[in-house]
Amino acid sequence: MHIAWFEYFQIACLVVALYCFRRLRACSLLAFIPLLLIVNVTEFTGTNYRLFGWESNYLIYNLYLLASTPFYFYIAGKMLFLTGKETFVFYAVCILCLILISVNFFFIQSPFRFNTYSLILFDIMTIVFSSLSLVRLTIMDQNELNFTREPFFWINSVNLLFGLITLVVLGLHEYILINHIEIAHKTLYNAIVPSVNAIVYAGYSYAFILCRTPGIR
Amino acid sequence: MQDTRDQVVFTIVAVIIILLFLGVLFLVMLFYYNNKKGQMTKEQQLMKATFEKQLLESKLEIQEQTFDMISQEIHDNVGQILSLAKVQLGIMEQRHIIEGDLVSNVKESISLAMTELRDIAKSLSSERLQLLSLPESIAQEIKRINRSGILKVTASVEGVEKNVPDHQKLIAFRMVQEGFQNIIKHAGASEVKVSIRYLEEWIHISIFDNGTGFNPENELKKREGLGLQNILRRASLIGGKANIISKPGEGTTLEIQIAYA
Ligand SMILES: Nc1ncnc2c1ncn2[C@@H]1O[C@H](COP(=O)(O)OP(=O)(O)OP(=O)(O)O)[C@@H](O)[C@H]1O
Ligand SMILES: [Mg+2]
Repeated sequence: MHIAWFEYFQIACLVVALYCFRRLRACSLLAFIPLLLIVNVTEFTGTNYRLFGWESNYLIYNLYLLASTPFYFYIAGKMLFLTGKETFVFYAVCILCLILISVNFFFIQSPFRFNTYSLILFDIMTIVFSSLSLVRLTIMDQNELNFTREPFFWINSVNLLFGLITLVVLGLHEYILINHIEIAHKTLYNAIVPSVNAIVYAGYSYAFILCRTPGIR
Repeated sequence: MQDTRDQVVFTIVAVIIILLFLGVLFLVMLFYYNNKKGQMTKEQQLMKATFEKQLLESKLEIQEQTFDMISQEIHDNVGQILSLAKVQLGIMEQRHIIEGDLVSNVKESISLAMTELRDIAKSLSSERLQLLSLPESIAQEIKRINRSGILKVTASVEGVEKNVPDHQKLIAFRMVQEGFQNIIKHAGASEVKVSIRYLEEWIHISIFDNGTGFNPENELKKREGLGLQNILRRASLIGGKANIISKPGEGTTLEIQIAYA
């Protein structure tokens, strides 16, 4: 049994989320808790897939993509402060994406190949949603908005940067593996993704701690 | 083969770096914008606070002026009239007779005193300023000054009357009052001309006195009195303009311009 170093960040993040349960509820970010559970289970089985006698862990990550996307979208919707028609458009887009991801999973790239198309789609949506959210946060008519103390700012920044990096690294996943593209004798994937993960989950944890003002939202 | 692979690695890394750079740039810009916005709101709040402070100060000053005026009126007018009535009553008492003429004199005096008191009571009402238009308030002030007999003030109003917002009106009135006070205190003038003109976008008030005149720049630099400084500061606060035109020996003109909205 093996636990990769960045997994500690994910576990810590889940612990922080549970610890900050009330604050998360106050910021309507409770969906993070099931999401982090999924993340932890996936990452654990993903790194230890040989223990279970599997040949590859793609199925796990494909399932992860399928299961986690609704939660991500739900959280993104909460952070966008949607009103009226926007809500409808937003959820229509989300459902369309989910359908595309499912179709890809079952029919196009199949469950046993890494679903790069789904991932690219997911990353694009993450980048778009987090950018919109950040813009809305900035333009929103709130006088004293201190970004460094604003949980939504941290979550969205981290999501944005994560989306930008994984778009390239994971989008080219197969290409990188087949062509043995390496930096410092590690595959590009292994060189970049763990650190990015660590940063993302550290960012989330920090954001959870900042969610302290119930009543504001 | 190794070469092309390196190229791919470099390209991928470059793309990642560029994307990251753009992402971070975006965040930095948001940060910058947000800070700017924060600063602006702070400035606005400060502006609002100063405005409110000045408004309050103007109100207090007007009140003070009103109290002075009332004590003077009571002492000079009502007091005088009532003393006269008392003297007349005294005469009647001495003579032990009730003379028709004297009685009617006493009655007249008392009813005059009553009118005066009613006037005073009216001017005490705090809503007076808000109910009256700017020219009306100024006219009242002029009437009072004229009655004291120190000065002869004439006024003219031109143009179609337009409404000046309440807060602006109050501050503007206080500026005019300060102008009158300065004339009474310093100018030694015999004649004052007030002109109120309603122009397209603003109301223009000018107060000319034929008194001693002075060098406004020097007086403002001295920073001894508050009156002139307050006039200028408050004018800019309500988005208007004030101008003090004067030379020793040539009288003084105070010009005030206030936009309608
Ligand atoms: N209409 C005027 N005619 C001649 N001199 C004037 C006139 N208005 C102002 N001054 C001169 O300008 C000086 C400054 O006036 P300002 O109103 O600022 O102060 P003040 O009247 O002396 O004191 P305060 O108004 O604070 O009670 C006065 O001392 C006076 O010498
Ligand atoms: Mg003065």
